[in-house]
Amino acid sequence: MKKSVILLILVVYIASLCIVGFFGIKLRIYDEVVKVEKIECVTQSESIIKTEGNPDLAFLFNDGIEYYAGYFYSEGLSVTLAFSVYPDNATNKNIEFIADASTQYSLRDNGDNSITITFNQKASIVLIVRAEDSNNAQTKIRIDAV
Amino acid sequence: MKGKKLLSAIVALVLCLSLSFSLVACNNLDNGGDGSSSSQNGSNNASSSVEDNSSSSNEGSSSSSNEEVSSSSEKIEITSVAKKDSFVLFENNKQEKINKETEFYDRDNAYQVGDGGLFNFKPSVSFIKRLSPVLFLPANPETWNYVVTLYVKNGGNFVKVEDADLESYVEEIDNVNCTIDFKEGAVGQTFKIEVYPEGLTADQLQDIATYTVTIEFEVISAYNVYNALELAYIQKRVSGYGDAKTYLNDSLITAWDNFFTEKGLDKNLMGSSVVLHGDISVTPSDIPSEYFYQEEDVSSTDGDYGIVIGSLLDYETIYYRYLENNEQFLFEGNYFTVKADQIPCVVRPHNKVVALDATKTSHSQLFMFQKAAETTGEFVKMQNVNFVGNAPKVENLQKSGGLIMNKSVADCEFYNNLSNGWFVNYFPELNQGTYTVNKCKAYDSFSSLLYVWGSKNVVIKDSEIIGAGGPAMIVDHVNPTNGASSYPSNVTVTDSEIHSYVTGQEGWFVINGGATIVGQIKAMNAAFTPFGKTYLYNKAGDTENTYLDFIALYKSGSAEGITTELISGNLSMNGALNPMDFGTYQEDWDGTGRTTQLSGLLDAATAAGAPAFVSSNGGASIFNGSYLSYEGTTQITNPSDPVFSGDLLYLYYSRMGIVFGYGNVGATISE
Repeated sequence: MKKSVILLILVVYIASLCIVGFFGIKLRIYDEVVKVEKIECVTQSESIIKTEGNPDLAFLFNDGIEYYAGYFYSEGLSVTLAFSVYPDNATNKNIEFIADASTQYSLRDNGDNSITITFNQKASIVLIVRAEDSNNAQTKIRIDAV
Repeated sequence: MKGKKLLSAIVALVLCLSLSFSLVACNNLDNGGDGSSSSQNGSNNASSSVEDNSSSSNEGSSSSSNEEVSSSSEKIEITSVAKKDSFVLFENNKQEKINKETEFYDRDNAYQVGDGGLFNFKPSVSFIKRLSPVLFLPANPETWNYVVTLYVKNGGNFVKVEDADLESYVEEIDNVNCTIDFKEGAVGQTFKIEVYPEGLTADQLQDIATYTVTIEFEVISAYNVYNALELAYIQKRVSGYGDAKTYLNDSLITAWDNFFTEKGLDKNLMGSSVVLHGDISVTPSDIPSEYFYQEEDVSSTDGDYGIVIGSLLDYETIYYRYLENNEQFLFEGNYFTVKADQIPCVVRPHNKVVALDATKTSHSQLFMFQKAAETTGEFVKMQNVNFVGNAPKVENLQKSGGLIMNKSVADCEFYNNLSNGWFVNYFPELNQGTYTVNKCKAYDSFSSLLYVWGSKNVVIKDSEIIGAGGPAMIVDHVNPTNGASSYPSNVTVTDSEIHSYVTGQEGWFVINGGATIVGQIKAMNAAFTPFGKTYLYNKAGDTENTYLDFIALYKSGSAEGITTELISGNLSMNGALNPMDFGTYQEDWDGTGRTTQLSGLLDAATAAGAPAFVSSNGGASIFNGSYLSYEGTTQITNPSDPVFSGDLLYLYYSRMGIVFGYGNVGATISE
């Protein structure tokens, strides 16, 4: 076989590897919807608002099942908690905050996957945080202001 | 010289082989998990702060003066009382939603409670224990007493239930666990419960409304279900009925019997109607292990060995319900969610060993409603449920082994449900009664949202069915050449949106070899655009692809691919002037042989191999390869011809019927 033929085979082979490696064997076009799988509270204890004149003992921990936050109540106490959703490439990363209606507190959805809870009196709230997409991923947090 | 030639040949062979292996390696062989979810959901029925294990019981409203004090003399305080999580979610699920795909059509139904099993209404009470003036922790007393008062609605007002009335409605009220066991006499009545915990302070008692939970509900004849294990009670499996194709595997009857014993489930409750009281996630641990391939079932030399262990058997039903004459089955969802996304997909189609990268079509389902042919008066209703499956429309071809949501031979109605992520959502199978999908929303299926298999009367009304990997609906004529055992399919759509915008490169097309045909179909669109009409759409933000609105595919059920068998069946969609109808048949199989004005045209078109286009406004044409014609020769040149109007375009080709959305040139889609 002539050298030119061998050279041609090599060129075709290497070019094929490059083209296939770049484009893949099948080109599939999708508008794949990536659903939210997990929601996590990302507010750290250090960033919790401390009210002047009151003991600054406030804590936020995850007991492996749900989140819990405790505060000493003072008038006008507001707590803001932020949440992240996973995976990062979820198509719809919006979440909703769900709680039983009560005169003991008021809720404000800040629109950036965070919520501000203002306590009107010593009280606790159990907050369910759920993704807006159809996969029903959710988490729960209890906040005590007592 | 010969040696050089031989060496050159060997080098060329090695290069070719290595190129082939690299092509195979580039295939997408993602065999990852079937949508595992790490979300936490409300199916955990324990309240957020109290777990009880006592079981004292009192009837009617009750109170006692128990107050829990810890061993270290720290007093437990009540800080708040709220509705149980499930009631909070119930009320939220009924609300209007930003994401309309998660919003139920009918949001006016009251909470339903069954007369079978206990109804748990324990409020979510937040307890704390003060360890010091500056330190407290959440508390979880093992038991706590509650004051419970029951009312019944009488003439528009709620009246406290006492004495003889209490005896007729209630078996037992437990004021520690906050449960109530209703009698059959309560069915049809509307009740209200007020409950608050004992141990409130004087100040809290002054503001008792803040610490009292009130819930209203209706009692129905059904069993109260709180978890996936209890879903097993809907089953009724009858040994010896039919063959394997009726999805009744006798070995699974034994498996379920053993499973009931192992899990402490009550076999006497099988065959119940059910009502849900929370979100439910069905996982492999909630059903017998016999549903899944085990190590001992396979050989390490099997082509699919790498992925088959733990996969779901094909042709199986997880929850199988056999109905007798006049039997009524109700599945009341209370707007909660049933998720099956953690159930593994089928890997072995027809339970045969296949290659690792083989494509497949699943025949396994979550629910199956079966009856004998001669059974009458039966009815199935599933309502107010959000169903989430394990096979959304994704690139992963393994999802072609995903679950079908439900199949039904029996008369049935699916009312006010949401469903996402199934291989197929709704599947009427040899249903000679009526299969109704009413006020339902269905999205995001890997294959199709509706698969009609030899079913006489499928009705879709006031619904939204959008977004499949293939056609929105596939409709088969079963046994088209087999006389008395021939089952055509007919679908009637009223006031509903049915769409499936596809490019032709989705997984369904890859598996069913439809990519080439889609290319041919897209090419024929050029015959319509000069007249201002099109069945191809552009999508906002996508400049590379054109989309078909692939609404329906009608074909023979004798093969999963294309056949040339003459079929029947029709689709009447949203009152279209001209429904799609396959017209005349050679044999009057069902005793009501139909003819249409187009039957001669169809026979001429299909006989010649030429595609025929018919619009929902009644226009008809044959595409001769160059232009649209009346009979194959005479070109249609009048832009006012009815073939250029209507919302739907029917393509008859090779004895199949395909229904497309039909629009004006320049139309775009946003989905």
